[in-house]
Amino acid sequence: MTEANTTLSISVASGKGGVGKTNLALNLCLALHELGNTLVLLDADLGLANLDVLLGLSPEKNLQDLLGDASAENVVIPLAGDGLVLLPSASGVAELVEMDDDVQSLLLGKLDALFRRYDFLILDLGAGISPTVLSFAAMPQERIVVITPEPTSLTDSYALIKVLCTQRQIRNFQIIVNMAESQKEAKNAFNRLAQACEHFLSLPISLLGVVHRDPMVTESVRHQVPLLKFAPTCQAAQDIREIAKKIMERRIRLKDLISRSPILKPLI
Amino acid sequence: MANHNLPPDEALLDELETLEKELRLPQASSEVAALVRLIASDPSWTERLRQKKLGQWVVLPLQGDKFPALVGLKKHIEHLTVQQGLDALTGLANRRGFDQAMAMEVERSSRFKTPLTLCIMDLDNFKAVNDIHGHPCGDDVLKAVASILLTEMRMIDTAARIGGEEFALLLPGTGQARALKLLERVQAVIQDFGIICGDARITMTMSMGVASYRGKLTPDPVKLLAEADKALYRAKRAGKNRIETSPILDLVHGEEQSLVHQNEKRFLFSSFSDPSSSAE
Repeated sequence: MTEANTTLSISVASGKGGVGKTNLALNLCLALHELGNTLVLLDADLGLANLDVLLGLSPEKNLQDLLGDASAENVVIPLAGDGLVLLPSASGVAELVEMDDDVQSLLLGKLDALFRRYDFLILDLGAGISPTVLSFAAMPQERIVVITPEPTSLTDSYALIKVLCTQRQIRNFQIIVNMAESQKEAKNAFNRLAQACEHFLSLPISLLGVVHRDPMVTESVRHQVPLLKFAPTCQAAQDIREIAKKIMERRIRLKDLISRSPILKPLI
Repeated sequence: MANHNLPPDEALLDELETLEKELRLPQASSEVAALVRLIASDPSWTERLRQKKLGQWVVLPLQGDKFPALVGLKKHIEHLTVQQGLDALTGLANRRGFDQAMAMEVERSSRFKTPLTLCIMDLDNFKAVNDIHGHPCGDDVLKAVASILLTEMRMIDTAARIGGEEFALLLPGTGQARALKLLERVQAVIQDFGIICGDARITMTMSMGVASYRGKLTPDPVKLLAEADKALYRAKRAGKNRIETSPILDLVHGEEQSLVHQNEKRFLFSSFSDPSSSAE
């Protein structure tokens, strides 16, 4: 491990399910790929295999096979050539974070060499605040929390941020407001969350972007075609591209910091 | 020292026998000491002491090959150390051994976030056994209870005699609900067990008090003991031959209280109830 790290790892989390997190993670990857970046998308949504469904895939191997003879290269599925690959997890995720330190370090060891070859590692997390979610949210360098303007989404995402902040000492969160009717509504929701974080946790959070509610999103899911391919010019697709640009700029700006931090921080 | 090989001094042996009787340590004492007297050496001393059942006395030569004697001394000290933690009558841990086990299990529970349950139990109406059947019979009852505890408990549990007819069972890695299953079994076995004493068949019952930690907080041994004692007292007062439990000591703790408090919710929702206040 002598070469400096260039991979930016980001987990995409949400306190509440049904906020379009998985869809957003997938399309952010596609948008970053359009911009010339290479990415690994790790499905860390335990057992639900949402990414497979979104893409109409049924992977033969998953993370668990890495405990046997399989190499990381055998497990990944190319989504857009070699520049964007999916690492399906299914039940392997439990092994990674909940089984024990030894299994975790074995898997992370096998994966590190793979991750290093890409510009980004994006982790699509399950909803909620289960130990698995918290561990996966804590390991990467950066975290995106997806919220919607709904009150329940605000409460649940605040709970997620609070528990990560108080129990795992994590202090960098970026927010995407998804399914927003208007810019004003999105800002309003973000401000409430930001003020609560500031007031109760003394934690500044930042708004990474807003994705407007768009009927094309539902349509693309129904057709099992990613939004950016299904409706490349719709409002939501444009919003996602805006966010992808920001993330890409961020990776370049944080180059020194990234070079000094592991792609996934071991939890031991 | 003159190198005369005197025969073992019979007078000295007599003196040791007297000392042995007079200096016998009271049961409760946990102190260890050595009385040292320098005597003319003779290889037969060890055997003589053994024959006279003066096993507490150790011969340590100061010349020649000291090794066998030092090994013997080491074994002797180890034996004494173990014995110190054991109750002479029942072979269970005594109060000292119990305290050591408690310290160990509190540490383990705290480190590994595992539950810990303590049961304090007291034989019902034991004084009557002594009064009616005599003390040797009472001792048999205590030994029988000890063997039941040792049989019913698991390898990792600690059974101790911490008072006259008072016992403790420390159950590591075990919460209250699971502990109760084991304790109910112990209670039933004791009740069914008849101790033959002369012509009499004595049946006994046991009252128990239980206190538990879930592994969410570091157990406080003093509190654990006090709560189990209180529960035992309730069991006695409620008619004996019962198990009473104290409320689980770390049932609700900081982290498990509602993650998002009411004031935080009000803060998050004020924008929805009063949109004008949220305009930036």
